[in-house]
Amino acid sequence: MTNAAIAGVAIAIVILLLVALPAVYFEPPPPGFLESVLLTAAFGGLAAAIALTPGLAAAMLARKRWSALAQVLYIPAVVPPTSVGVLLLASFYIPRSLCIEGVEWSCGVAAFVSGHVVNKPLGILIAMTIMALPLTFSIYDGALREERAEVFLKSLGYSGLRLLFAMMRSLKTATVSAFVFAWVRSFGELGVLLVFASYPPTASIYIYNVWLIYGVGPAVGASLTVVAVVFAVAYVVRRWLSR
Amino acid sequence: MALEIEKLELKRGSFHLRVDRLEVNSIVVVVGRNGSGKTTLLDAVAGVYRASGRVVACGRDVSSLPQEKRGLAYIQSIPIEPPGRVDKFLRDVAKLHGTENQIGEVVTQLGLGHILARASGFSTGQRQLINLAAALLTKPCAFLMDEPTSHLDWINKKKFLDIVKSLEKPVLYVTHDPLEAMYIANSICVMDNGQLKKCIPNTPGGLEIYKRAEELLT
Repeated sequence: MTNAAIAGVAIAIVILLLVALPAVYFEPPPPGFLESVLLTAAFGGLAAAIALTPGLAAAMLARKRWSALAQVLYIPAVVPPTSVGVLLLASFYIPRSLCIEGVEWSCGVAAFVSGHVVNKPLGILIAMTIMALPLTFSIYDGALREERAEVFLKSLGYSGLRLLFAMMRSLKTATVSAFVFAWVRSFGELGVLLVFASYPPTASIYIYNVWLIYGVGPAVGASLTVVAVVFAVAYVVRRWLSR
Repeated sequence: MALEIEKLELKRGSFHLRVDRLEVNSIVVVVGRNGSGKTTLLDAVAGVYRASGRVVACGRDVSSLPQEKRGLAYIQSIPIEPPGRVDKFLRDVAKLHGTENQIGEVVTQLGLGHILARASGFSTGQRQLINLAAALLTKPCAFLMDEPTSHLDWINKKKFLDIVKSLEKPVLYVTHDPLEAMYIANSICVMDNGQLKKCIPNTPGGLEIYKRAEELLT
């Protein structure tokens, strides 16, 4: 009963502050909403899937000699997301600086970065993947503390990528949790995208812009619709993947 | 061919594992209290941790080889969920070791036919049998088993132990259960504080109680 009461209070507070009270201002979101949600869903899903393998590999590493090194994957969760955006931008602008200083080979890279990465779909994918890494790493790290799947599979002769993929399927619950959590989290990612890849607009950028241009009502409408859609899809996906 | 362990040493924090010599020709059961080093011994032999000394399996020194190349199948107390459908998993393992033609035999031996097409929803006992089936298909030089029946009920425990007894391969088996040890062991070693204190040949004293339990529960 105590557990239910504590959970009930937490749920009630979240619903009250993030759903019930703001709903008073609800107005339909302006055009562009569906596109931004679909874009976020697609890129968030892809980024979550990509982040699974390095997250698991780092978690396996963390169980061995390189535990401190593996913690590096927490960096995107430690520094503010806007800082991650600034750091990414700084990294991807290095070829441009080199090009200006006359290093020829870097000019092609710089052109590719400005043409295909910064404020482009590939940039969104990179940013979302970076932000998903701490989640996949920490979920797998927790799962591996409970189970020594790696030890058994290695003794069967599994190694390299074959081992990683077998582990991923064996730790199915953790894999589903990591994927769904990283995907859901991608909808809330604003800071890094605002700085590094604000175009095409994802759901968070869209809501931010709507708030700036149209005010609270349409922004609340867009936010609550995103909550409803993501909540429903995440639930269905989790049930389906956990079969 | 025996699994031979010589001058095996491993330090982990303040714990020090030291086994001067152990030859596993049949089923050697290691018993001991919590924290005595039983699992660490298996980990060191398996290559999970880098230990000094020699581990010889199938007549070759495997001490410097990575875990996946030692030819030692390591069954643990918490069996892993098969990665995907059982039939596909067993096929993958068999393909790695060229034992595809033995899948049917292993499946029949362990009674897994009815769950081959499934990928989830297994009981712990079923998972352990799937793990054992995969291990059998690797044709290992020896088996390392760390309390493999600790999560199994009596019937599944008896079934598992009878299969272990029929393996005809060296088995280094760790358990807390003295009855289990007496049931399957050819010799029983007592481990304490990271060392094997003594090894004695087993007399089949534990058989009777297992037979009586089986009569009671079947």
